[in-house]
This record gives sequence, structure tokens and C-alpha cells, in this order.
Amino acid sequence: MLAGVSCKKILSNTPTDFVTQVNYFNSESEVNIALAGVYDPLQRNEMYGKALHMDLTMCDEGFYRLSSLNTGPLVYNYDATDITILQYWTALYDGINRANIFLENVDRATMDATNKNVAKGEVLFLRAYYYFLLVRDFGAVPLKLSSTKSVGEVNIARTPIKDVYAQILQDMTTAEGMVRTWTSWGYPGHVTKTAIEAILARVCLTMASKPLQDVSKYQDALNWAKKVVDSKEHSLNPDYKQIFINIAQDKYDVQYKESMWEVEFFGNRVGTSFDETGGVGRYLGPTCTDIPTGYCYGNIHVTSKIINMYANNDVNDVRRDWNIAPYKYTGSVKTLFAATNVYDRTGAKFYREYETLLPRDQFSTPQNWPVIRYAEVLLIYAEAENELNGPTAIAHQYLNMVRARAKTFQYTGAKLITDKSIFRQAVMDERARELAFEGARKYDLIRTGTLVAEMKAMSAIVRLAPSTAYPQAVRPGDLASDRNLLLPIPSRELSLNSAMTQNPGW
Amino acid sequence: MLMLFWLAVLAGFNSWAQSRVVSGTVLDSTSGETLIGVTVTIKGTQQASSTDLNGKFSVSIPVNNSALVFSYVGYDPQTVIVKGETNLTVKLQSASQGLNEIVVIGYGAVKKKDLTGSVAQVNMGDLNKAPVVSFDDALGGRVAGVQVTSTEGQPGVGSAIVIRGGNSLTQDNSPLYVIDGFPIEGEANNLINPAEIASMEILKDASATAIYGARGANGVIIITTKRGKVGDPRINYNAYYGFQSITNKIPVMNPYEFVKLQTEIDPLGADTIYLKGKTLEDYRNVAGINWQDQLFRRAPMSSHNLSMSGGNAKTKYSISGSLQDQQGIIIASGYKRYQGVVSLDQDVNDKLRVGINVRYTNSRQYGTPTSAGSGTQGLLYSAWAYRPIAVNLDNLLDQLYDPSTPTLDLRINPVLTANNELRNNIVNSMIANGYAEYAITKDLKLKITGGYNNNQLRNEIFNNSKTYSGGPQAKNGPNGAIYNYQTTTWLNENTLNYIKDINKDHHIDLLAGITAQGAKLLSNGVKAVQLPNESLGLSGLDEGTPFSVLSSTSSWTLLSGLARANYAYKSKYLFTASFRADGSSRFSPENEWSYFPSTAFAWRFTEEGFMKKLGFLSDGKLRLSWGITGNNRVSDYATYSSFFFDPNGGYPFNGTVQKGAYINTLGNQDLKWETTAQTDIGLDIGFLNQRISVVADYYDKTTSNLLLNAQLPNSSGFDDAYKNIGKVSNSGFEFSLTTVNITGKKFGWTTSFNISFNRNKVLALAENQNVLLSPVTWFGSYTSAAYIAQIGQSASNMYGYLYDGVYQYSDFDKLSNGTYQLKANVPNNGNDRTTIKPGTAKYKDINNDGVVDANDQTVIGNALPKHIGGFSNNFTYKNFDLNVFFQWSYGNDIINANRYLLENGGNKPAVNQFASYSDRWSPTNQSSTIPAAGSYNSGPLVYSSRVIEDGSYLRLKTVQLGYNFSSKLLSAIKVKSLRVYASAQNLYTWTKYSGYDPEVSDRNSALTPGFDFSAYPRARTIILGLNINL
Repeated sequence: MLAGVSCKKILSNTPTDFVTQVNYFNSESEVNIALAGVYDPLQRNEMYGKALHMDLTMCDEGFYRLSSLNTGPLVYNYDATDITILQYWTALYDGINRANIFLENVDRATMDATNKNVAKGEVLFLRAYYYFLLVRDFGAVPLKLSSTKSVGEVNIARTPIKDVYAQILQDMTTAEGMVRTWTSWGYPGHVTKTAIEAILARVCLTMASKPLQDVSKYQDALNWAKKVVDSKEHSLNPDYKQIFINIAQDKYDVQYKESMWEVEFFGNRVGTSFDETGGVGRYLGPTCTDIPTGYCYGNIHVTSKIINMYANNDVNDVRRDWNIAPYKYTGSVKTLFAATNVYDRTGAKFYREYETLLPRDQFSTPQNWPVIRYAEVLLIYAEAENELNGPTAIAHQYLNMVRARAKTFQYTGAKLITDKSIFRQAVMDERARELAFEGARKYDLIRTGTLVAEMKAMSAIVRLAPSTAYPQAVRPGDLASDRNLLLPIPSRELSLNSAMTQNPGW
Repeated sequence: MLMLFWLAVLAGFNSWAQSRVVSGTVLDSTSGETLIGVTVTIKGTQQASSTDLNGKFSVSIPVNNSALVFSYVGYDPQTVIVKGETNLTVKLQSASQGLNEIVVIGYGAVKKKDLTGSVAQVNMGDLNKAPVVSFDDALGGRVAGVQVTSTEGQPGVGSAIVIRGGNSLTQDNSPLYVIDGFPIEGEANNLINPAEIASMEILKDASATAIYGARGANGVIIITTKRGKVGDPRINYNAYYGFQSITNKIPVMNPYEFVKLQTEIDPLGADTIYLKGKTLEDYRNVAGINWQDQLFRRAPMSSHNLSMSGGNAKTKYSISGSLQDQQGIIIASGYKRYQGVVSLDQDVNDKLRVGINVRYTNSRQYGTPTSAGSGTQGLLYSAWAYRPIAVNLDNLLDQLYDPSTPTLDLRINPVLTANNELRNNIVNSMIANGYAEYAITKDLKLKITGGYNNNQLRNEIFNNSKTYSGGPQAKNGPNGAIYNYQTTTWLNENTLNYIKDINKDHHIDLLAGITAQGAKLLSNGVKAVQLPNESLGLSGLDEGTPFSVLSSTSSWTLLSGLARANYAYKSKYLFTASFRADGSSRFSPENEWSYFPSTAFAWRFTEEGFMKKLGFLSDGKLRLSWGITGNNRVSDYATYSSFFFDPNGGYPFNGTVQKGAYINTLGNQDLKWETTAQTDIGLDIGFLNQRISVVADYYDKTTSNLLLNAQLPNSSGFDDAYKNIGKVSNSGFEFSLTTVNITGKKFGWTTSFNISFNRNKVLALAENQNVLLSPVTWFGSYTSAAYIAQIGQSASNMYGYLYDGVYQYSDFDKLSNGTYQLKANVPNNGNDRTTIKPGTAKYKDINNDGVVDANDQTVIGNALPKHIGGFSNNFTYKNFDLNVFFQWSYGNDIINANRYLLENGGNKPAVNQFASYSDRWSPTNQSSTIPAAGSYNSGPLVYSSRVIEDGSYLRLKTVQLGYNFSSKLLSAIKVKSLRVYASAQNLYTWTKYSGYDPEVSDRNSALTPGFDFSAYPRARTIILGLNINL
């Protein structure tokens, strides 16, 4: 009965249920689908959905609200088995592998050559960006520039920090010449030319600082920042609050374009199984348990340390009562805090009450995450200029631009700074005030070598006026040590990859 | 089919030669009872007759032929040479202890005495005494080496059957089922009404299973269903009706203890909710609501089997229909099955026999699964934890949510949940088999079989506004879904069998064959939400908002060649060799073919001259076998990397979702079979004419190149991938004893006993990997690993912290302000030291570093039993018969996860606890090891030995008492036999386990057995039945 039927034919079996890489990347729409897949990890909880403004960016800005939580990066008590760190590591390498597959296959697609080049540029940049996050948080990491093809590729050694950075610079620089501008897209969801320049400025500034301390990169940081400024595409939104109100309302700031690159989130999970929502506003906002008003944990409570950074500089700073919520909700009613009440105040920034997409979901929000704003570019410019040439007029000019928008005094006339190190500190403090709760502060403290000292300083400040409701406020500072300058390599990776080594202290 | 009937009719017109009439009576050799329906064949012809109601027969035999063959199911056939007699009395010997009993093996059958491999026959007579809907519910403890793990007690939920220990770590360990010759991968327990099973053989060693090659490594269960026999039409009706009830309820706190706990953990809330105008003492005599009483019921169970069968020497037929209706002991749950079977066997001529067998099954399993979902959605968890008293104006029984709990805590009324969630699993299955057997010569037979199996599962889900997901607090409103899963399998097998006896000394049995099997799998379904008219149920799905769509297909094909040779010299030295080549579409062309050899040798030393003196020895056989088998349980396309269109993997550029896709599985082109090499040494020994018989086996299995869903370092961009890596061994000892203790005219007693020991050991894991940790999904906060598979140890060890009682006052320094501070030299419990008070849970600081952390986790239990077994006794007294069957498991641990949440003082307000928590530590009850009430007192949410319990049990599993009305009485009303009986299942269990039932594993896998969270309890069943033959 079987005679005459070739065994080969009977046993050949190509998948009927999914497409494989071999038969994909044919058309522009398939390329766009794969492109979305490379962006997708940015949205995960372990990245900009949550961890990159919560768990992994905890520093002297505040402390976690619940004393019952005893372990995890939120409370500076964690080890290499921590699940958030593993998931963060996993998300980054997922993104890298997807980018590698994209870059290896995209060339065979039949599509508009310009669009193809743009998509390639975006993916090349995203891969480099994922590596930037890796090298900044984990130090030397395996540098994979091609996709995993065999289940046997398990022992992958770490590449030295400077080599990882060299690849990041090379890829980002290449990508910068390939992608479209913000204006051309009309929104900041795609990576754009000036966004890459701004991130390159951030990368170069990080390289010039600790631990690499390649001071030659200050010039590059300045050059990239200057390129952004010279493009004249971006300016500061005159109203600081409006930047974040726009985000809550799903509006792009097409007038000023201050928000240069946003990780996009969307929807309220009503009537669809697609979930593109995130956690921006779920944690950083006024505490609220009323769902229609905008549920928010208010997870990070502040200490006088951050409050004083505003108060001791200029009490008129409009940013303080935006970045630190002066009220919470009792049900749907706003309850203002007493002026003396410090510890009940929460790190805010993303106010769900402004959301216009209704009904509001309890936990998930449509708010985008601003990865980099023009204000930071100006501050990088000022910092690099100061490092290279001292507190020059141009350094002052950019610092003052950011301050003017915040309605604070200008460093002019009698307040002009002549000392390089004082100017350096002024920029750092300005960054703390301007970029509070935007996931920047911890990395600023690491690159200036002050993380542990500032964490201890926060504990000391708390001990001066201890809180009975929040005894745990002293713990993160007490527990912080030099090993926190890098995250531990996840123990899962260590146990399965024999070429991997652990970071110091873990 | 019609043609076959015509052939049957024609076969009747046989001319008769010159003949004489012989008549007589056929009796059971032991009891002396007459036997009805014994086939009496004239040797060398097709002519046959059968005994009547009085065991009498009458047959005309040709003058020149003088031999009659008497054959009867369950008895050894007997040939009688008729000399001059005209009236014979023939005594047939029961074959149940007989060495000539036929044992079904892969692609054939052999006499028990000629068996070289390890094949166990299930005593179907005993098994069918258990009132169960599917055979797996009664199989546990009946056969040495077969572990039946029933995951929980919900009607229609299958059991996991593991033969001689699990080989695979991440893949399915269930055996291959061969039902009437049709191999079925995966669970097939519910496809067959146990009353339809004529015989069940379990192939255990490699010599027996290697003929199934790539699918044989997990063992094979061969099921042969009943077919027609020669004789007058027999109509059988077997029915029972009875009730099931819960064996025990888990005591929960009464209203007094509950309110007392509330005052301790939430004094403010307790004051406003419970103590408004009342005192705690007022709750002393309040009855409250026992939610278990609300949820459980006495549930009826009924079974009806009606069959008609019969046939003559050339045509045999059987038609049967059955209905099993088992309502669950939890409201609104149950299982119902209808089945119809038709079979026909027809001798077309001297050389050709054909037959068919068609089985259609429709079943519906319904009811909310109690253990599915995570945490507080567990139905039984809700019943235990729901507030036991209504206060003020609450009418807790009718309210969907507990009004006293915070708005965000979606605790749901378990009774309303069970009554309103629609959960249907509807199966429509058809298995059709046909065969043609052609005798090419007297010794050489060709058999061609074809089969078709169509299995359709429809999964229906509906949540109305009185459910968790469709209720007012859920955004998507009333919602529903229908999912269809269809598997269509075809089979063609072609075998040649040559059987020859040479000089009576040499017996040769050769088999060769080519087989092909394939399947297409299809699934699809849709979910819709916000249904405007919930009263329409699932019919209103089209009116809602489409939510998600499921659609997928896949297929596989298997081509095989097989061969086996049996050679026996004087029935003394027995040799078997088998070989199978399997080609599978699941693997890439370089790896698709693999080869599975086996060999066995047996020595029946009782046939040796020097042994014949030992008259008390009636049988003695030493068996030795070795072979290689495979396991192919991997997805159809595991060699390919797939592009995954993740519903949440897109990206909302500019507020418009761009669909996204990425490679989510890393295909492995090098994938091939997992192979198991097994050696078996066995001894069959019988004494006193087989009144005592013993089967003992030692086996050693090593499974290598495991088809392992191996963990990959995440820097690869993948979590895991299928690889052939890792190694597991299982070795063990099995012992079965069958004795006929008393045989008498009035009283008879037989016993069978079996015990098996298996040792499972992980020899290797993935590259660089020493430890494979497995989490269990049940409650969100428990994310750490609950199980550990470590090289050198069993694959199923429980993992966590060693519970060390609670901190006592002596562990603290009393401060001047009256508070207690943990002494510096006393380790913490994983939580911050300031949270630790007298009465807080304490864990062992294994590495003595003063801090309890992840490094203090260790093996805290073993889910695998040291030994399992069963013990069955059959008694007969006059017309009464009694069967008593015990089953046990010894030395296995269970994670009673319920206690993590229900002996837990840190729980939320308004959550009730087990009554055992009343004995918690307090300043006045310092000897208790149960943590005190209060939010930190239960310590961190980790797995610990506190809730690991001994899962050993001895269960009086089945008891049946029957009465046979005497045939003399019945013959007057033309009834061949009538038996009435009473049966009980799960009558009593001796165990220390504090949960409902120690036979539990509701997160079952090779790596995570023995976990109990909110598992549906097993019922005690008591029924009355009757069995009538016309």
C-alpha cells in the first residue's frame, strides 16, 4: 500500500501554523510588523512600563511607600536572583536579538528604498540603545551583533565596557544619518535624527564620566548637543507642567517639540485583547484609590532632601509642586498636605487626572514615557562646555534657559558662577530639579561617583526628623554600597552561561 | 457492511455429511457450576454449537471426525476425543491462573507461559467492580509499576499514568494507548467506558514496548474492547445508581474565632463592622455560614450499559450503548457520557476474515474548575476564606461581592460563581477500525488494518453579570468564548505473521510489518465581550464586541517498519528479538529516522528434567530483556523558529497600533528522539498448581538525549528551546503475588497483592546546569521556585526554607519602652529584623551566616513515593461474592499550599482561616508553632516546610458485594443470569494529610507533582446495581 509513495514526501512537514524567518521580510508591511517587534520591549514593565522609572532608578529622590516590602531593588535589598533584574536583562537581549534578526533579513524585502533605510536606521539605533542601557547598568556584557541561530550558543563571554561603547557610538552615528526628523514624522514615537543626536550626547557624557572616564568624549557630547540646538527643531515648552499634561492627554507637542523621543503607550484595555497600555502615572503621581479619578499608588514618597533642593535654591521654582505632589486624593477629593508634612508627599510628574481617554483603567495608562527632552540637551551642553572650557557665557546661557522656564532666578550678574566645580554642581542640581522622577538621577549620581554618599545623606536627613509612619525611609541609604553602582548579573544567566562572570560585590 | 451480512447468511447453508449426535454438559472445574455459552467446535471444521442455559450442548459430528474443542472466555480451551460416548461431562479450567492464558502484546498475542517480556494484565473483573466513569480512576494500585496520579477529583478530569517512573523532565510522560490496535498519543482515559474493555495489558519492559519504537518509552497500555462471540444472542444490561458525597470537610473558623481574629489584625475595622453594639462573646453561639455546606452536595451518579452480542462460527457481532451520568459533589459540576459501539467480525472464507469496530462517544464535562486561575479566584479557596457571618444588613449568600472588603478586592461569592460560570468541555469522538486477515498459507497470515479517529473538543465559556469576569466590577461586562479543537488521526498497518511448530520442539513466531499514521490538528475559537443580552448565553456572542480570535493548525506523520521473532525450544528456552524503525515528520530530514531494537531471553526452568521432581513448583521462569525505546512528545514544528504575532507585541505609533511580530521560539534543526535504554530481570514462579504465583521484576532505565525544553541564557534572546540534552534514570523493583487461598464448593477466597519501588534520578541537565528550578503558578506573590531537580537527586523534590517554629520571647531583648528587639545573634526570617516579634514565623539559617536569605533554601520534601501498591481480596460464599480492594502510597510529600493562605495571620481583613489557625501562637499559647496573627507574623511569602505534609495513605478504595441468583430460578423466566450488587468507592482513607485528599496533584508535571491548591476533592461513592443477561 505504501509502495510507490516516497517516504520523504510523507514525512516532509512545513509549518502550517506560523511563518518562519525564511519566508518573512518580503514586503514593506512585513518589515513594519517586524519593526514594531523591535520597539515592543521598550514598553515592558521591566523597562519603561515600570522598572526604568521605579525599581531600577530608585535613588535619593525618595523611598518606597510600603514598609512591608523587604526585598528588591525598590528597597536596595536584592541579589542576583532578583526577578526584576532578570526580566530587565531579558527584555534588553530580546530587543537585541529581534534587532539582529531584522538587520539580517530586511535587505531582501521589496519596498521603497528610503523607507527601508529609515527602518534599518531605527533598528540599528534601538540595538545600540539597548546596549547602552545594558552597559550602563551591568558593565561589560556579551556583545551580540548577529542573531542566535543555534540552541548550542550558550557560552557567550562579556565584552569590555569600552568596546561595547565603541559599538554603540558606531551604530548610533550610522543610524543618525539614516532616520527621519521629528518634523517629518510629526510625532516622537519613532526614533528621529535629533533624538539620536540627543541620546548620543547623553551616551558621550556618560562615557566621559565614571566608570569609563574617557574625557575626550566631553567634546563629542557638546558637538551632538550643539547639533540638536542648531537644528532649531526643538525648543522649551514655556509651561513646564504642560509637557506632562500633554502626555497625559495623548497629545504630541508639535509646537515646541520639547519631548524628543517617547516610548508610546496607548488605550485603556476596554473591549480589546490588545494591550498597549503601560504604567506611566500608575506609580508616579498623587496617591489616589478612586478609579474614575485616576488610580495611582503614589509609590515613591519623598524626604526633605529633594524638597530642599528646590527650596534652598529658589522657593518660586514651579517644578517643585509638580514633581512632588502637594496633595493626595481621598476618594475623588483632593486633600492638600499640610506645609510641614513631608513624608506623605509622593514623587509625581504623571497625573492621571488629566487623562482624557475614558473610562480610566485601574492600573494601566495610555501615557507615553518621555525618554529624552530638549531641556536635558541644554543641560548636557552646559555641562560639557563647563568641563571643556569652564563656566563660559554659553554654558550659563543654556543653564539659564532651563531655569527661566522654571521661573527661578538666573545665574547672571551677582549670581554668575566663576568656579568650574561650583558650576558643575549647579548643573547637577539643576538636572535633579528639572529631571526629577524621569529616571535620570540615579545614573547622574553613578557617573559622578556620588550615589552611595547621597543615599547615606538621605538617611541622615531622615534621621534628623524621623517618620513614625515610614520607618523604612532610612533603609535604602543604610543598605546602599559601592556594589549598587552596577546591577548583579542575573544568577540564571550565570548558571547557564559558563563564560559569564559576576559584577564586584554580588 | 451489508455485504458482510450477506456473506454471513450464505455461510449458514452448509451441507452436512453423515453424522451422529453427541450431547453433554460443561462445568467449571473448580466450582462445578454449569457454564452457559461455551463454544463447542468440531475440530478442523467451522461447525460449532454452544451450551444452553443449563450448560448443555448437543452437536452432530461426522462419523469420521471424533474431536471436539470446548472454548470459553476466561477458561483454558479443552479438546475432547469422542470415542463411543453420546453423553459427555466436560470440566473446563479457569484460565485466570492458567499459564495458557492469552496475553495481548504489541501486534500480536502469546500464551502467558511463552511471554519473555514484562507485561501485566489488568484484572478487568476486579477493576469493573469499581463504580467509576473511566478506567484510570480504578487502575491505581492494581498493577505493579504503574503509578496513577489523579490530579484532583473533578468528574471527567483525567489522571496522569506513569509506568516505571517518569523519563522526561519537561515533556509528557503518559504512556501510549493502543485501543483495538489504534495507537493514541496522550490521554485517552475518557474515550472508553470501562465496561467495554475486554482486556487491558500494560507493557512495561523494553522487550515488550520496543515494537512501538519511538512512542514506547513511556510504556504502552493495550486495550482490547469486547467483541461478539459464537453463541446465541446475549443481551446484557448492567446498571447502577448511587450517590457521591464528600469524605471530609476542612474545618474553618467559626464566627467567634473569626471575629476574634479580626479584632487582632484589624481592630478598627472589627469595631465598626462586627462589634457595633455587640461583644466578641455574642458570637460564641452564632452558627454563621459554612460555605463548604453551601458548595458541596450529595450528588447522584448513574450508569447504564446495554449490549447485545452473539454470532456463529463465521459471523460475530456486538452492539452496545451506554450512558454514564456523574454529577459532581460541587454544585453545577459533573460529567456525562454517551457511547455507542458496533463491531462485526466475519469469516469470508477459509482464508479471509474481516472485521470492523466503530465507537462514537459524546461527553460533556461541566463546572467551574476549583483549582484553576490564581490565588483568590480558586473556588474552594473562596469557600474556605469567605466571611462566615453576615452582619447588619448584608445578605452574603446573595451578594456577589463581600460588602465589607475594600472595593478593589474582588472576592467573589463562591456559590454564585459556581452557579453562574458556564464551563463546558464537550467531546465528540469517533474511532473506527477495520481489518482484513488473510491466511496466505496455514502458517502465514497477512493482516491489514485501517483506522480513523476524529476527536472534537468544544470548550464553552460564559460569564454572566454574576461572575468574576463578567460582573459589575469587571470592565468587559458579560462575556463568552467558544473554542474548538479537532484532531483527526488516520492509521494503516500491514503485518505478516508466520507461526510454525517444527517437531514439537521448535516454535517459531515471526512478524514483520509496515505502518503509517498521521494526524491533522485544528483549533479555532472566538471570544466576545460586552454582550448586550446576557440572557441569550453563548448564542448572544455575535452581539458583543469581538475580543480575540484563535486559529491554528498543525499535522504530523509517522512511518514505521517493524519486525519481531519469537523462538521457543521445547517451551523451555524462549528468545525474542524485535526491531522498529520510525520516521517522523516532526524532525528534520537528517534526523527523521531512528531505530529501536530489543531482545529478550527467558528460561522456563521448571521444564528442565531436574526440576520436575519439585512437584510443588508448577511454574518457574527467569526473564531477561534489554531494549531501546523512544519518546517523540514534542510539538509538531519544534525544528522551526516561528514568527510570533504577539497580541501585545505591537507598538502604538502615533496612537495607532502597528501589529508586531518576532521570533519567539528558537527552532532546533538537530532535534531527534529521546531514547530510553531499559534492562529488565524478571522471575515468574508458581507453586501448588499455580495456587500461588509470583511475578517479580527488577528494571533499570536510562533516558538520554532528553527532549528537554532546556533553559537558555537570556543573552541568547530566548528563555528556552528544545534540545536533546540531559539524562534521567529510573530503576526499581516490582513484586506481585496472586494466591488462591480457599477453593471450596461453598466458600472461595483469592488474593492479589502488588508493591513497587521506583527510584528516579537526574543524571544531567542542560549545558552548565546543575539545578532546574520550577515555580508553580497559583498565587501571585509566590514567584520563587517550589520544586528543584538537581543532578544526582530525584526530579521532583520540593524546595524552600526549613520552618523552625516561631520566635519566642527568649529570642528578644525587652527594651525600656516595652517593645521587643530581636537579639543580635538570632537570625532574621528573611524579613527586616524590626518586623520580627514573638510569635513570628522563623526559618532555619542553614548556612549560619546570621541572615535568612535565598541561600538558606534547601530540599524540603520529595513528591515521589518510596513505594506504592494494592491489595485485593475476592471472597465467594454460595451465591455471594465480595471484593475488597486497598491501595496505598507511602513516603511521598504534598505541598498543602492552601495553608499558606489559610493559616496565615498576615492575611487581609474579612478572610476566614482554617480552624487549625485558632491554635496560633499567642502570649497565652506559647507552645504553638503556628505564627501569631498580625501582618508580618507569617514571615516572607516563601515556600517552607511548614505546609509540607506526609502524603502517605492507605485507602479502602473499592468494596463490592454481589449476589448471583441461581440459574435454576432464572431459567424459568428465560434469564441467563442475574446479579445484584452494592459497590463503594473511596470508602475510607487512613492518612495524616490534613487536606481533603492525599491523592492530589493539581499542578501536575514531572517536575511539580504533589501540589494541592484548592483541588476538587474526591468523592465517596456508594451505589446499587444489577447485571442481567438474557
